[in-house]
Amino acid sequence: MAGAADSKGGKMTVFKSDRHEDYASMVMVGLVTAAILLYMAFLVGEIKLKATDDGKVMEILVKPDTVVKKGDKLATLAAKDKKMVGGKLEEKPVTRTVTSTLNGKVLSVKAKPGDAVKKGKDTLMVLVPEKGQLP
Amino acid sequence: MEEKSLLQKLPRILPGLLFMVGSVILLRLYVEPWIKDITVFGTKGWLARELNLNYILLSIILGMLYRNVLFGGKIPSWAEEGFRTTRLFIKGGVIMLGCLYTVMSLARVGGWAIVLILTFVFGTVLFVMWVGRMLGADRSTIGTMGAACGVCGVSACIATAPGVKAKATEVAMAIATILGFGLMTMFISPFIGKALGLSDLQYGAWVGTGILNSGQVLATCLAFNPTIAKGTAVYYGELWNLVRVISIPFVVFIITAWYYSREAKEEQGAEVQKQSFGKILKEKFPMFVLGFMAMTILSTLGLFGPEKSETNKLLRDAMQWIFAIGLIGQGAYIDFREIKQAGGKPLKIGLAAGATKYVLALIIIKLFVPSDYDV
Repeated sequence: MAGAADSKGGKMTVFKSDRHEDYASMVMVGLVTAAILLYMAFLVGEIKLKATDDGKVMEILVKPDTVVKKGDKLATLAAKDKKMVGGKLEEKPVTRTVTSTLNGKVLSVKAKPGDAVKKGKDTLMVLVPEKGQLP
Repeated sequence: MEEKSLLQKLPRILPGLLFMVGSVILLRLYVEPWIKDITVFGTKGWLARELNLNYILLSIILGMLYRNVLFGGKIPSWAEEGFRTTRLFIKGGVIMLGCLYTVMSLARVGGWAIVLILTFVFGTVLFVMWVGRMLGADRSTIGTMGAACGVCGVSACIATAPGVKAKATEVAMAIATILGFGLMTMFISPFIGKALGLSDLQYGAWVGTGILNSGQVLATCLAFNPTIAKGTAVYYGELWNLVRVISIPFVVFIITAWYYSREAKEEQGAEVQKQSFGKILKEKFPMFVLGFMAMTILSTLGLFGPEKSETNKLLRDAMQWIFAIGLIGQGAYIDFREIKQAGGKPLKIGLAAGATKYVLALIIIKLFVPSDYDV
């Protein structure tokens, strides 16, 4: 892209050819990706579990040090299911269950029943993932 | 004269490279959050959302300012070699982009919607190729404009550009055209939608198909119906837009393959009839596009963790930093004088394709898409 623009002014890559540059970019991405995957699988210490919906915390089903498996129920939220039907907004109260997306241990619980939470913003609890999985 | 090895070149590469990296740090840590906080027309973050002033455009603009204002029209010799790493980072960013898509995401949208959206995506690409040839535009201009108009603007354009050897000026023109077109349609679409009595589904489907930029799809849908819930315009608009975005790897691959097959035809005339696609692929096809496709396949297989996971977020973040470094350099290769010389061809192609898609999508959706349907 930038290359053709200045091709008159000389070679537009620091590599021997475009092909070499392609391979170099693949190696660079391979290394970056591998580093991220290794970090996430083996080095990351804790993962913050955020609210999955706007609403209120109804129940916290685990305590610190509880060992959890992927799919285990961790908390329930009172949320509203909003849907546009025939040009009118219908709101239905629903209970959403927050489940664990990984195997690990609960490090600390940050929310308590009655707390108002925002989807993706408020932390419900902090989990320590088991080594060797991608949280 | 014998060419120096990369290691020998390193001392000359570092100053320019560090300058680009430093600029990105400044931009991403200070300028970008500041732009997101600015209130315009009473709305916080208006510039970032409506004008799409995110790290992509900010990096290109900063690079353009470096060349045309700070450097006085030419990249200085101390930075020249470092700025030549621009394409390495752009290509790296494109490959990493592949890890954000999964083919499985398509399953969330209904079958008829996928057919309609993909028809528009590839129909627009073909239309751009036809208009471009009629206007005698360069293949690289046609390629970038085809991706920009066919899919969702900026990302598709940037992902296609290195594969079709597009000039920095062509990329800038393509981005400016689609964002300008999107801005215009963003203001008129809600009025058209209300005047024609479109339902939320019809409006979302139309905007999600006809408007070329993801951010602008969101804003245009919210202008029609500000409610965010299942069944609203924004829900359908985003859903339809998602299918377009997922088609990026395939569009990039097809446009790049088209570019190289045309180039081979020009180079070898009649002999190309005997040349297999495999040979073109082996000898000329940009390998990084295959890397991009490979990442999409690995992502579909779940090798990068579940969608929206922490791992995915970190990969996205790394991709943005890699892209931003390349885009600073990309901007620095845009000479204001070259934009003038490029003339109006890219603009004409972009507007013709954008307007046709916008109007045709409206007609088809009004005629064939029911006013209410549970997607």
